[in-house]
Amino acid sequence: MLTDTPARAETGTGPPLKAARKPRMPQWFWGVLLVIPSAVLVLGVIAVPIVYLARLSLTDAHAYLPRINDIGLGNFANLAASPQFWQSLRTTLLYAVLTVVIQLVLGVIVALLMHQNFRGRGVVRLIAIAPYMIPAIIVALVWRWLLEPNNGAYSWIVRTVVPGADAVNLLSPTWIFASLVMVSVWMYTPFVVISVLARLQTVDPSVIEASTVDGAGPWRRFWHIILPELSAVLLTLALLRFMFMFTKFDIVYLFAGTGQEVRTLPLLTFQTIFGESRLGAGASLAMVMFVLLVVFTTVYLKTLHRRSEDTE
Amino acid sequence: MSTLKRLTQPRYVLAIGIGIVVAVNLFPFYWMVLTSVKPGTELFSNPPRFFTTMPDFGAYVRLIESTGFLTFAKNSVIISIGSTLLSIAVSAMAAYGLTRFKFPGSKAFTTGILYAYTFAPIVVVVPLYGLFRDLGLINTYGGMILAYASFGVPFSMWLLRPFFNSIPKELEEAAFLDGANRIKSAWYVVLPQATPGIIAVSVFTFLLAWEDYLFARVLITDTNMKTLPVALHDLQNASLQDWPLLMAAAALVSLPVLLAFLYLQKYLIAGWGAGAIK
Repeated sequence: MLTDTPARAETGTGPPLKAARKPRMPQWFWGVLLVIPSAVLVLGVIAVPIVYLARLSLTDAHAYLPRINDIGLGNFANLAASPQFWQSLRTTLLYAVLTVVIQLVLGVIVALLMHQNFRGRGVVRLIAIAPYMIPAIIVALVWRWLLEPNNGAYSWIVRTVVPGADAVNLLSPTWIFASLVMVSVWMYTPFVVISVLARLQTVDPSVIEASTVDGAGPWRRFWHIILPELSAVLLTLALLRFMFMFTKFDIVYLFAGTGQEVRTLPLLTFQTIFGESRLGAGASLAMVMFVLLVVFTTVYLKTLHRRSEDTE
Repeated sequence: MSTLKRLTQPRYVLAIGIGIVVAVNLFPFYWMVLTSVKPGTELFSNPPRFFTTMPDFGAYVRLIESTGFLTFAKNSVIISIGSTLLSIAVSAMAAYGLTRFKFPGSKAFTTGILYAYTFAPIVVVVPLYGLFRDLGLINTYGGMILAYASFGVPFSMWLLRPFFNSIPKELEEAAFLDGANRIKSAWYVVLPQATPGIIAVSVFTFLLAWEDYLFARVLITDTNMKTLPVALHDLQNASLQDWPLLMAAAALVSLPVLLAFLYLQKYLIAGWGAGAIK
């Protein structure tokens, strides 16, 4: 380990340090130089494609044929008039809101459990987080097999435990949306668990002890002391998770397919471009998501900012 | 009696709660591994069998011998490691630049990075295809590495910045006094201090590339260049009922992830605080 005492002594003398080493280039030069590679990557793979996307969204481009004509805002007018688009927007909102709310509730409960002292806590915490680390394709495959109507383990349990559920097919159009919500919650709740757990560890235990001495039961402690402490992190998580769930593609497509019941905006975009070859129309859908994301992110950054001002 | 009740009740609640969490989270993994070694005779029994007495590793043999699994694994490994290295190099440089120098536009850059962090692949994948086609990057390792590294950079930087910030400037100044230049001090003094953050970010970036489906589906059209998630999805569509084969593949694909997670958990959880990943 480096000992930093001599350095402290030197810096105590202050400015001469800088004067002693004369940099050949001004400060800003190095800053800019170091930032350029990441700026190039992010601009090249995110910003430039967005410009291209905006351009495409104003055309009737075909995915494979060399057809491309400017049609102005025609794609957006079509979207506004398309019941399919509004249906998809509703599905997306429902999916995002449901999964986020359930993730937050379960995430707080699990984090509170993991915050207690018990033997084997380290291992149990790992298990509590594990689903989040697994690739979406694996989650989709394993859950489709678990819910497979004839031989799936969970289907069998449901059939045995729930009276009158003999013929329920959890992957059928009737149930697929509910199953998708369940699988998404299983996969993404650990994100909430970890974030809440990190916050819980900063809560001063003496506050909780004091309230216990005052005779507050576990419920009162939770509502009046712990939840207010968590409110800021929960707001951040709600916004962040909402954005991620709103634009989620992999797990929706891989687990649930492209049926109408689960056709969220990302799926409708994919379907429009690759299923129907309507590149221009698909690009306009992607633009809608882009604008929504920018709005969400702005709101998110505003709340983050306000939070950091509050704590100062 | 009442004190006893008060003592034991929360204990039971805790035990039951933990039991449920463990069962709900572990059973799918157990079922995956179990299915991959179940002999055909037990596979479709009704009621399903929850254990097996004679494991059969035939599915793994079939997977390796007849599906090109190793080729796809090689693609995935090259692309994931390449993306991780590129993303780490680039974002560590930027994080160092942002925390050590003042320059015009640094604030705008940071805000831009935050916007990029919330970005969804589905928004850019299609124009990216057009761009990559024009540049000849479709079906290349280089193209995939560029794509994943770029998506890794925003959260890597976001996560690394506090790590770099927490390294006392005095340490570096001490190195300067000892005659080290900027680059030497960054390499020998700052970087080792930031190692926990760099490990966390590496794992997250590796995972991002390892598990992605959408970019790989769209930006790779040559069968021999496919990555594991795409290969698995195609395998599922091709072999509708061969669950042992699919579960064997699933187990092998999750293995590196779970191992990395086991060995590096303390770094991952430390790195998660900043808001981490999607």
